[in-house]
This record gives sequence, structure tokens and C-alpha cells, in this order.
Amino acid sequence: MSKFLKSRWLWPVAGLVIGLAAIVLISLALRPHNFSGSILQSPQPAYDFKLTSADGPLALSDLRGKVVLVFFGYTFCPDVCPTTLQEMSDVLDLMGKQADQVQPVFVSVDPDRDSPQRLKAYMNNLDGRIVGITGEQAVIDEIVTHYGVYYQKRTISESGNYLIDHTATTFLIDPDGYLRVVYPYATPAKGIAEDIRYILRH
Amino acid sequence: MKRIRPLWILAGLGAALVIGVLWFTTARPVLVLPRLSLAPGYGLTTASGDLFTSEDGRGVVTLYSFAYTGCGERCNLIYDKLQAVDAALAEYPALDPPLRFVTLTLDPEHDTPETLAGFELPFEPQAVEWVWLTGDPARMKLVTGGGFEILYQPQEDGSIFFDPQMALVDGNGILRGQYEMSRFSAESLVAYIDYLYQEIEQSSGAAKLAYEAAHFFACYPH
Repeated sequence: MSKFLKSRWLWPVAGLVIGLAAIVLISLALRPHNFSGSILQSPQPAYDFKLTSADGPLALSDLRGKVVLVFFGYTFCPDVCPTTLQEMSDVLDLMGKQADQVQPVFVSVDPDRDSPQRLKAYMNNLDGRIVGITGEQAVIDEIVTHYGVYYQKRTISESGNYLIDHTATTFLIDPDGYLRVVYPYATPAKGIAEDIRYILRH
Repeated sequence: MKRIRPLWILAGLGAALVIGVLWFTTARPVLVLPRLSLAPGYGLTTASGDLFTSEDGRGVVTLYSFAYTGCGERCNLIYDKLQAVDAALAEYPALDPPLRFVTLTLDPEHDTPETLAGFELPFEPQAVEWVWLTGDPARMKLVTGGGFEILYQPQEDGSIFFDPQMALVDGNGILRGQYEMSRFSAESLVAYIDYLYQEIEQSSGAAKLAYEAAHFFACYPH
């Protein structure tokens, strides 16, 4: 060993090892993050909107400085919406102390049945950290068009009961107000939380 | 033998990294189409009266155009390019995912599903499906004007003034390019479609890193 320490190869070998370690670390640091959804690089901020929560008006731009997760649905939704909202809740749990830098927003496309108060009660049953908002149908129609969301009422009984078929994607808007990632339905919460941590770091 | 100092090795590796990045951004070995924004969401009506929604575009590459049945020769600029794109794509192996032409009418009051059903297409596409869509005029305005940001204005003589454009949307509903017909040839449209399919086919595993780097460094075709 002592012979090796005195060897003229010591420094070149050590340098090479350190250099390789450095290049591996730099490569890992520069490696593009593998997002769990479709990435966007829009030069424009996400389409801003102002709707109403039980606590008053809320605009998307009011949430600058936080990562915002936006999902469109309705409280009578039998499966997709509760599942996605549960995932949003799981994302907040996974974020730990950073959860206060994330704001999930549930936009109801069913203002006839979903009053702001009903939305708040519904959210409180699931996770009170999620904000429910809604507004006039015409305003919602404009918002969904800009977010690539489709919805359509489907009557299921003669008494007029209806379901709403709707796009089930979740949108991640960064703290500067840019739409960064679109998640398909059932994207695991862990992947979304990792994406949020990456966005908060950069 | 001369001794190599570790600092020089590190400096050499750092320089190699910088040269690699410079090479990637100047030689641009991988080109991608930008991921511009979300294409608008909609539920509209086909010539056969069926509901057609933006969700039907999931997993399909869509080339949107904007025209109307009473457009006459003014729309030949659009049809000629669509025909040339279709002819070029017919030479390709079967497209996976498929590509669809979708034309949104600028004149929904006249272009009802019945009118669309009676409209003879300027050409019969060989490689793709071609769907014309119409709907409530206010809704069409929201999708075409608000979503795709196409400026159009009905004129006193019944014609519609508009700037002919096409929009390329990927299977995730993301707008990858919007092209003014006066500035882009059919060949360039085919080239852009080709870039998109190359990315779809090759962007997996280690190659995905190269594609993401191309997006990061904005390696877009001129």
C-alpha cells in the first residue's frame, strides 16, 4: 500500500477517479428531469381566470408564487373526480413541509348544482387544503376551451338527472404562472410530487 | 513520463462538457417542434351529425385547418397544401399514431352538418382521414378565435375575411406549430410532421434525454 502511495501513478489515477465522479455528478445535475406528464414550454403565462370560492373571488394570478394544480370536474362526479382529488391530497401529504407552496384548485364545470358553499363542504370532506371554485357557465366555457378541456352534460334519467363527461387531465402551473405539465388521469401522486419539487428547486 | 495534474483532468472534462453543449446547440443533431400551448377543448359536430370532441384527438396527430364550404377558390391555398401533404404521407409506411385532417368551419351558420354532408371535398385523401366540424356559432368562435387565435371577419358580400393557417397538434393535445399558409410550403409542413413523428418514434430510453435536451436548448427547425 505504502508503495502504491509513493507511486507516480497515484495522482493521475486519483485525478481520473475524481474527474469521472465529477462528470457523473455534473451529468446527473444537468440531466433533464423526467416529468410524469406532458411538458409545455409556452412563452405565454397560463390563461388567467377569475372564479368564486366560498371565501370570495379567486383568480389564478392570485396564486403566483405557488405551484397550482388545476382540475376540472364536478361534485356529483361518481369516480374520476374523487380519485383525482384524493391524489391531489396525497401530493400535498408527500410534499411535507413544502405543501404550503402548492395550491390544488378544483374548478366545477357544473355551476347549476355546485355552489361555492357546496364546493367548500365537499372539499372539507376530502381535504380542506383543496380550493373549489366555480362561476357563470359562459366564463367556464371560455376557460375550459383555453385549457383543452371538453365537457358535455349527459342526461341519465327522465327526472333530468345528469352526469357530465369531461376531460380528466390535471394541469400544473408553476409559481411564475406558466403552464408546465399536463397529467393524464391516474398519474401517481409520487410522480407529481417529484415534479413539483423539481420545479420549486429550479 | 510527464505527470498529469488532477486539476488539468478536471479542466479537460469541464471543457469537454462545455464543448459538448456548444456542439449540441450549434450542430443541432436533434430537432424538435416546440411544445407551444394546449390546443383548445371542444365538442363539435361532424358532417354526419355525430359528436366529435377534442378527446377524440387523443393519441392522434391532428393537422387543423380553417375554411368554409362557400370559400371557393380562395381556399385552394389550403386545399392544395392539404392535398400535397396527403400525397407525401401516402408514400410513408402506415402512420403510427395516425394523422387526421380536421377542418373547422368559419361559417357555422351556413355550414350546418347537412351542408357539410353535401359538400364535395376538393380531393379524396389517401393517407389520412379528413373531418369537417361545425357547431354553435358562439362555440365555434370560442374554439377558432379564442383557442386557435385565428382572426376572421364576415364581410358584407357574405364572404369571410381570414388569414389561412394550419395548426399541428400532437396526440396529447399540445399545439406543436401554427403555420401561415402564405409563408409555409407543403414541403415544410411535411418536414414538420416528419420531425414530430421522429420524436414520437424515437423519444424513449436514452434517446429521450437527447430529445428533452433539444427542447431545453430550443433546437427548433428554422
